[in-house]
Amino acid sequence: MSSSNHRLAAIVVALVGLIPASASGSPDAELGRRIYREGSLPSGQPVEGTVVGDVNLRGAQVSCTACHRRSGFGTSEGGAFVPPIVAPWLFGTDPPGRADLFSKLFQEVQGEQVRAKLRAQQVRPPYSAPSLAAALRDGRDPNGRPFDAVMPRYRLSDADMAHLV
Amino acid sequence: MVALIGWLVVTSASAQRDPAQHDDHAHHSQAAAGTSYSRVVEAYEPPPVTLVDRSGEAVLFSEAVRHDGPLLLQFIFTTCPAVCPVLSGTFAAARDGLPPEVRMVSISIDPEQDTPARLRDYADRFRAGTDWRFLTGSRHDVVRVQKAFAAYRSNKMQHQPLTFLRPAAAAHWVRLDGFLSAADLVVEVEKASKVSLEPGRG
Repeated sequence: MSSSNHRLAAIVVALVGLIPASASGSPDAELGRRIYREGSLPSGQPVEGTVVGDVNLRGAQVSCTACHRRSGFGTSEGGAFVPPIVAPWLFGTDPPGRADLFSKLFQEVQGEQVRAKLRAQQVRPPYSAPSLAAALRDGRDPNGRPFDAVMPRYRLSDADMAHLV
Repeated sequence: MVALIGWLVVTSASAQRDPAQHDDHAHHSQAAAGTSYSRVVEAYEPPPVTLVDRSGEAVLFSEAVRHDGPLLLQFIFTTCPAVCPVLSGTFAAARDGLPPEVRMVSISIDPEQDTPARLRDYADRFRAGTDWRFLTGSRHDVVRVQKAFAAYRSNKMQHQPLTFLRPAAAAHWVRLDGFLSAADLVVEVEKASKVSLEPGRG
């Protein structure tokens, strides 16, 4: 588990460096961790996200780790492939040949829907703090391609976003 | 988008029906929210098993699905990370938009973990009222129900995001495979209630 802590710290540290000086409040990695892991905001309120266009979910069930897992490596469930969101993948490009890497990491045979999604890889530029914020709010990657409808579109204030990204 | 198209292709390949289908929209609906799901009408026979609801009461499955009005049914498990919060969330979000006579049933596919107490916690997450039943039971009986609805996977993580809709007591079931928005679900209930359903057609 400590390696995932290191990884998370790496994400946060990498991003804190990208935040412009004019951002309000000072970003707090611990508060960001609570949003990421527990789905709770600094105010104590649960995080809110909208899935499939009009279904609002809140709290731990829409925390990042609920689907992307504590490791950040994602998962596959039924027809849903949940991709990794670890720092090297977000801030590098989605490595080519991810289907092979997936086979190394996930020992179980995957259903055909997941295999199709894995292979339908999209080339995208690395994320930055602003494009990551847009991804979380608007559900699109830096090319403007929309995420799957199951990925929540989050309601996050600028201050809360700064803790997270 | 490419991933969605890939998914759609795979879905249509795995749900081979009468090739003389004319109305493609009846099968693969792509709503504005970017959701897409497949739709087919089937006849399902509820098995003669007894399940347990979230208050711990035993209930015959045939009783649990006995209802004159529209009935919606999903298979869930309370520790499900990605799929079930969306499935159950859609039931919850659609509740106000659906006619009051609609009933919902959610059945656990992880009955050893999903005790009545766990089902109560899960139901509370979605503010489920008395019009929405949550059922668990013995593994043997729960598997029988899943098989009766052609929804059984030996690995619960391979479970498909299925929603079953029966518009009236004597009707066939509409099998919806994929993620629906609340608006999609309301439209499907309306649509099913208007026509008499024949198996294999949308």
